[in-house]
Amino acid sequence: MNEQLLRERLHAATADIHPVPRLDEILAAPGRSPRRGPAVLAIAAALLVVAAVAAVLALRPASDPSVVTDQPSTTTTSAVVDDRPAAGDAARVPIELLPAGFELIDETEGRAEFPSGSRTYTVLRFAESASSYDAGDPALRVAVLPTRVWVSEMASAVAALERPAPQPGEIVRLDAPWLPTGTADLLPVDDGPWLHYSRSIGPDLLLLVSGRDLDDDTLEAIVAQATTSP
Amino acid sequence: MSVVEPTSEGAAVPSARPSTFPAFYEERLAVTVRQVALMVGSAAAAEDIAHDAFIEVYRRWDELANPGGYLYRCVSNGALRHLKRGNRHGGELVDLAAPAPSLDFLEVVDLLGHLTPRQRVAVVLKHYGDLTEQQIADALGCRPGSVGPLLTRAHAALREEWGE
Repeated sequence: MNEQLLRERLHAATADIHPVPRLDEILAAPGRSPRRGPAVLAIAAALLVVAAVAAVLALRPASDPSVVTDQPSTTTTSAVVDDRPAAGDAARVPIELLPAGFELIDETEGRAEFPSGSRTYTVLRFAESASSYDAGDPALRVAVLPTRVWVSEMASAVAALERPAPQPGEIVRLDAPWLPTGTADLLPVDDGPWLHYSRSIGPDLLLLVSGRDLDDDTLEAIVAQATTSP
Repeated sequence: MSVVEPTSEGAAVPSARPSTFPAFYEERLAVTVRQVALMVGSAAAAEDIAHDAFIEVYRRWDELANPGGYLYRCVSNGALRHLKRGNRHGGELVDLAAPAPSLDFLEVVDLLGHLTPRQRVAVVLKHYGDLTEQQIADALGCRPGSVGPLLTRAHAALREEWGE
């Protein structure tokens, strides 16, 4: 085989592929490793000293429950990661691509009993600021984004579209008005079909619903709540 | 097929380390997406895989002495995962908004489609990325000694399809 010819063919075949830069989305992704510079070490040392002094003087408990933060945390991300086979990556995408300046307002984990068993779900709410959310800012944009939902649990949505769940190997594009793109693909993956939308991230994303074992009734209720919120 | 998690730096970067991530991104975006497109046979999927890989690099930017190598490892893993899913179900997402691929691209993808996922990724890394066998091994998370045979089998399969 002529390796030089192969090399030329590979390059020629992709010459007209021109990806759209999405640098802003990457720079807005939370969870970046902090710099481990001298300043950070100095701050860490200072915090240790303060904590030690506080403990000795019993000024306040080390873990004061009144201290709250509205900043996104890595634990938030892990809360919505689906651990089913070959399902983890896209489930993380929406949170990582939240626009810069957005804050986590609250995180609600729910558990409910359904005929098919006990289900858990997680609702994450994001806004441009906690104050705008609390004030009911009418300009607050709200969208709901089911990350990955079993098609069997989207039965009502599928039925509404009057079509059955896809067969293995079949890709079905659905209208999904709750997504920024307005559509979603039913993508069969592994042991069941998932609702897949990994390219559907838009600037209006404020509320994210991630459903691990999310029941369709619960999802509908969440969607209704989210889309009617200010 | 095993999928290696990008837990360490992989192949060497072909050029000097850019001082900032935006400069790195600008320098590597097009070539990375094109390589992944060859690996997975879809420009749209390649953009997503490359995007996820750049996010991983950005998160560890301050720690990475060799971000290019780490990027190769991330995209290789992403491509292998994608191919694994595609092979299992025989389906491929069609991005209706994307421009139609060129005939050249379709022919090359068809040719590479006769390779196993690891062979396909290795061939692209070798003949598009100009990586050494050591660098390919780092990207694939395998022993350097296994890259040579992998490429040999890939070349044989390509030769057969090419009719040489």
